[in-house]
Amino acid sequence: MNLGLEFQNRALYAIVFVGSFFLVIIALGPGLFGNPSLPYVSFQFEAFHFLCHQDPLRSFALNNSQMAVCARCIGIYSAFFTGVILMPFLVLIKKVKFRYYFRFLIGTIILNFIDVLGNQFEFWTNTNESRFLLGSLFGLSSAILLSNEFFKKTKYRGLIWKMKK
Amino acid sequence: MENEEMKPNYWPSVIQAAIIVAVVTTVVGLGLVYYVAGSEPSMGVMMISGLTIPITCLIGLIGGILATRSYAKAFDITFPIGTGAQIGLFTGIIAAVVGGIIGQIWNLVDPTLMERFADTMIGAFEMNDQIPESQKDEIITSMEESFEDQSSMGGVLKGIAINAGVLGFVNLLSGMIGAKIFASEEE
Repeated sequence: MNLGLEFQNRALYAIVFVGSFFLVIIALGPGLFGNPSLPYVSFQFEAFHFLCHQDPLRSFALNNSQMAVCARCIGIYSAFFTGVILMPFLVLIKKVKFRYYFRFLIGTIILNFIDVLGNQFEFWTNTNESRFLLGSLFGLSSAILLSNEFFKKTKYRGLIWKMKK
Repeated sequence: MENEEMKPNYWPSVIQAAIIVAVVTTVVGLGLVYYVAGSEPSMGVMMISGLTIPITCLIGLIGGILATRSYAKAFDITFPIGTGAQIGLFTGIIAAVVGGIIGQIWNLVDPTLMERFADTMIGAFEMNDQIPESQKDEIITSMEESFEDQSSMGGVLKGIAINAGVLGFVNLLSGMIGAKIFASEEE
């Protein structure tokens, strides 16, 4: 079946897909395996200590165990993985120019900065849910920025449709 | 623009970016360890939001972006995201190794730091009355074992390997993004 999609950089896509999946699994922390644990003593926390502040107040818990990354970071990683899954569908739906994806990415970075600064200077108090949501936007925008590198819409689909007509 | 087939050496950009990431993340990490080690044991110590500025999150991610940007600008070239991924991967791995080495050197400068840190963390946990005593003993024993394991040579190498895997992968991703932003042909 021809979906009208050209799949390129396959090996790299496979690496990104599998790697992002494991990144999310590790980021969910020891609670995913029903293993109550504290920061700094499980490999999941060690894996992310360079990448996240791992503040218990700013993290979700799974099975009563703190996740290995904060709410914003779990949003980023899970949304990135979701974006990797959605890439072919996004390309199929509509071809969007790189500059629009790039603007979306910059917009989400600015949004996250504003949220962090607003909270830091006590203009407002953000919640784990709002951090997760803004992190998700950043993760999703990072993934879809790369979608045109892995999938390209071909012209065949349109041609077949026209020929049938 | 030069042709990408000439492929100039990207290692200087990789090493430069890896060192920046390693130094920044290690300094932030050490700051946090000092803060915890110098505090009275309490659950508040474990809730370190006052010290850890949220933007420290993701500093480790920028290695791939920095390296690809530096490489593209230095040679004024374009390259595919596969090359960006490679550059990011190497940047992350080297950053993890350099960070591990800096951490070990710091252990020679202040050999009791990790002990003080472990004591505070365990002390804080002992004071937590929300966890039943039976479970608490078990978890404290496992914490002590983990701290011991982390300070052994095998533990240090294991830590570096885990960090190299995760930092390598996230920088692979940021390297692809960097290549797309700084080194791709206009669409």
